[in-house]
Amino acid sequence: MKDRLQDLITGPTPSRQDLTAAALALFEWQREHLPALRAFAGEARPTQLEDIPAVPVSLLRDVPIRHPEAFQVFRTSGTTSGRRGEHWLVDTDLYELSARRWFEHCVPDCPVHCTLSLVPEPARAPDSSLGHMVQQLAPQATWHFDARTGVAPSAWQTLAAAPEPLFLATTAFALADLLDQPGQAQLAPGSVVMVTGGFKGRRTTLDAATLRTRAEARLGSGLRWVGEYGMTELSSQCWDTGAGYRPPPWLHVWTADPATGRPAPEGLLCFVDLANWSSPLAIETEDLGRVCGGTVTLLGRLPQARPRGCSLTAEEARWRR
Amino acid sequence: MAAVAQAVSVYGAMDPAPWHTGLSPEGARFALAHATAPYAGRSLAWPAGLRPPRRTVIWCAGNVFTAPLEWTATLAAAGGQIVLKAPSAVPEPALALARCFAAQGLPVQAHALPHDQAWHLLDDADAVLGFGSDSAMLALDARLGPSVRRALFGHRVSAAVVAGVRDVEGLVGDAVLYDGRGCKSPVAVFALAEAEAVAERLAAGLAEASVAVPRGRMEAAWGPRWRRRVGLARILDHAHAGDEWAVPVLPARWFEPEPLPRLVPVHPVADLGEVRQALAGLPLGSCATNLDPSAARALHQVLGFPVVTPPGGLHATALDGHHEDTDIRAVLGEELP
Repeated sequence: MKDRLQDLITGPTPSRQDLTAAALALFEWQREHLPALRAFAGEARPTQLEDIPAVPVSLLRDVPIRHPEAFQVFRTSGTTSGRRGEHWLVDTDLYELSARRWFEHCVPDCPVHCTLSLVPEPARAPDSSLGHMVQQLAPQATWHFDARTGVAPSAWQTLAAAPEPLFLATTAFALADLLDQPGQAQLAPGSVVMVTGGFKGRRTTLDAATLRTRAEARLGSGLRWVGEYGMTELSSQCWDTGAGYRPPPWLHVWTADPATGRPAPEGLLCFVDLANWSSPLAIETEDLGRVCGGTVTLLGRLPQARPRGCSLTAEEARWRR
Repeated sequence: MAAVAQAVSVYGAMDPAPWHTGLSPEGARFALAHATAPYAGRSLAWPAGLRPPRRTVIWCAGNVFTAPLEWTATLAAAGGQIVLKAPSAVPEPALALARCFAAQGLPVQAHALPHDQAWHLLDDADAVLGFGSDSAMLALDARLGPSVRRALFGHRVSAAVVAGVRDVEGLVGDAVLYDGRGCKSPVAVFALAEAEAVAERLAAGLAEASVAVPRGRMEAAWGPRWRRRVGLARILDHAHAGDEWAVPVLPARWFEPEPLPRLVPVHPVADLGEVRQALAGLPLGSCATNLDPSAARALHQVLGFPVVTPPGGLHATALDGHHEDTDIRAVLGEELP
């Protein structure tokens, strides 16, 4: 199964028919090998992508849906309270393949050899999927964020001293934390700023446009800004380079009426991720959005949904400062 | 008092379907019929030795639209003026209730206002009866002068404790009324015996009821919670579920006090200690049970439920002036010298 999915990810863009066939086969394989998913899915007999029983992300805070051989776990942000959602994987091969391929496709010529990361370092936070992703995209990254203390003062020194284009990987709240600190840099043209994690925290909400204006005033104005939308529970990410978030061909995105879970023109974002080979491939989020022309527009969180996202860790640290 | 009886009768004959109660038209009609039926041929006595309030404000909640009826009728029958603060999201039931009473010459009025614009209604009130969220009741309490008599009811958790299937069909009606959103709706059924048979009976009853009385509106925020709880039950035990109802069977440690419409979890338990542990710290309302009377007393004494009733009786009113274990007349009335 894994080899088939690897071929799907590395091969030409699959047709809808091929994607559906692969997803349905993967679902049946998962039903056989993941006991909790088998119980969750019950008697479901999906015939199309939207029929595959989608696991609500909140359920993954209660019980792991885990392949018996899974050993790697990514966890959702768990800062001040509450259980953390868990994404168990047998291995991270397809996660890494998926992350690299789609990033390189969407953000070509990114100066990853010179990366400053304001997301959790995998060595310190091995269960952070975001940190793992950044490490895959930029193995030479330097890490300037601590979950307890926030953005390190060394970040500005590194930014100011960067002699060549730089890749700045950050969450929205870590960027705000950086801008709260004294410092100035003029990043070289061709530098890329990746912002992820959402702008709405537990205590504060950031305005994306204001944050960007503030950042340009301190980092330079000739930067490429890209947005990343990913989730702990997914192995694939969507990238926004200016025209909306684009999912990779092996990640099917659809929207559900929040009340019923059935397909609707806009609503809860639901994903069928064929890179989730050993973990539930169909996920129902608590994020609202719309899919149009192959791109995803984010419309915020479902009202009353618990705040989540990798930005929260930075928000907590920023609040403590 | 004939005027009150006539007002209740007219109110009960109205069609609540357009009232934005969140219930289906059938659900709203079922609730209104259930709420008004006990008044037929009954009088609402006010105790001798108590002077009724001259002017009472009833602060209404939005989830159980018929809740103001009993107190409006009781206080109007005693000769008092009543001001209904209608919930701004669901104003029609209280406005209609006031119209029915006013048409009989009874001094009842209603105002649909947001909380923060309704404080002036409290002016000149000598008694206030409130229903709503804990925070709303705290805010209301803070607005009242020390001389204003008050009975304020925040959130309560009601449940059922059963041993076997006897009479459990009654719980279906308890769960269907108001789509399970009221303080007297059972948020869970604790089964001391025959849990699976209890779940099957409830499932069959809810499935049947959903045909005659379809579920009403499902709020967007409830959907993921509904699917999570059904999914959780499927993984940890099992669940019975239809499009509009669900009976997840879950260990008692997964008890959750949050009600979801027509979702009635069954928790198999070994003894009442397990129930007490699940309910610890919660403000308890009513409990339905099919235990024999001596065992049922423990639900009051050991668990702390102020009201214990047979299945099917959670929403029943005795028209005796009590809400839960509080005699509203004694709290709002003033002892005569």
